[in-house]
Amino acid sequence: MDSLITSEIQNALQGIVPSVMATSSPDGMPNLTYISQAHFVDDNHLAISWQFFNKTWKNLQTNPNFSVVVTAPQNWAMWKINLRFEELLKDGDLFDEMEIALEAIAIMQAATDVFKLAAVLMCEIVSIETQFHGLTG
Amino acid sequence: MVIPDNIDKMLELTYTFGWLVGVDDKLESHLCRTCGVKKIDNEHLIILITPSLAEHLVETIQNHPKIVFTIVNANTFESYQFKGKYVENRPLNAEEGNIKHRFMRGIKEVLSDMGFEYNDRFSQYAELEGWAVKMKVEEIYEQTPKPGTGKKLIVK
Repeated sequence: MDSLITSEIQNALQGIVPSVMATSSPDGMPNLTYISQAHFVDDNHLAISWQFFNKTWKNLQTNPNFSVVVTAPQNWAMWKINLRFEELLKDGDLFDEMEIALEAIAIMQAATDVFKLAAVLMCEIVSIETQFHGLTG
Repeated sequence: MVIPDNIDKMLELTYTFGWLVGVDDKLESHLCRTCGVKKIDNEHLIILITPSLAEHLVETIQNHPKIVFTIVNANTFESYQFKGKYVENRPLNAEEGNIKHRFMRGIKEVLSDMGFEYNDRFSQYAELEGWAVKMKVEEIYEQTPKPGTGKKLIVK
């Protein structure tokens, strides 16, 4: 079975155009935050970098289903990825890998305080919807 | 409520990017990138969206009016989240069409500064049909990525 995360979508995960994450409280109040990294783990999982989640974390604890929209800078294609939070990682190989990647972003943005990895959200990919197929020609 | 001056000014910038989000009865989020905004008064915004990006967004917010509109300055990452209620939606009027056009040009310029030249191709996105969503703002939160972000702004 082909991965839901195509190579096109993998381009969008790099965060060159910042991605967004939308969660919901149990009473249906949305919350949206920008995320620095959505990291491809395997065909069924993405890992999201956690730096400053307050309301987002509260929402995930009661409703683990959420959505991320990623944008490919090459052609402005956009995808909504529906995810389910599985576990929080604060160490390990994946954490280390994402921490290094985040440090690189921090140096580029001259914002090392902002781009400091607190934890990683390991998430199951539920479904993917194409919002915009991308510019052609 | 009064929208603070600094946020007021940010709403008019063409490099202020935005997102509109609603949640359906299964608690699934429906969201799309916005293409401009117009402040009506101290409590209401007209948020311009491209409905084709999010098939179920308009229907969702008509049935479940709790919405958020989040903005970010594409250059500084200064960011705020408006929480409130959906009021109504309708086609863009002429003024709003101009706002959308100006805003789309702004997106293209920001991307060009990042090294992505779309040239005339960007019209494939910029000319997608726009729609106006009226929002009643009830609360505003700081969302700028920094320690302690997420605080509610006190606005009189």
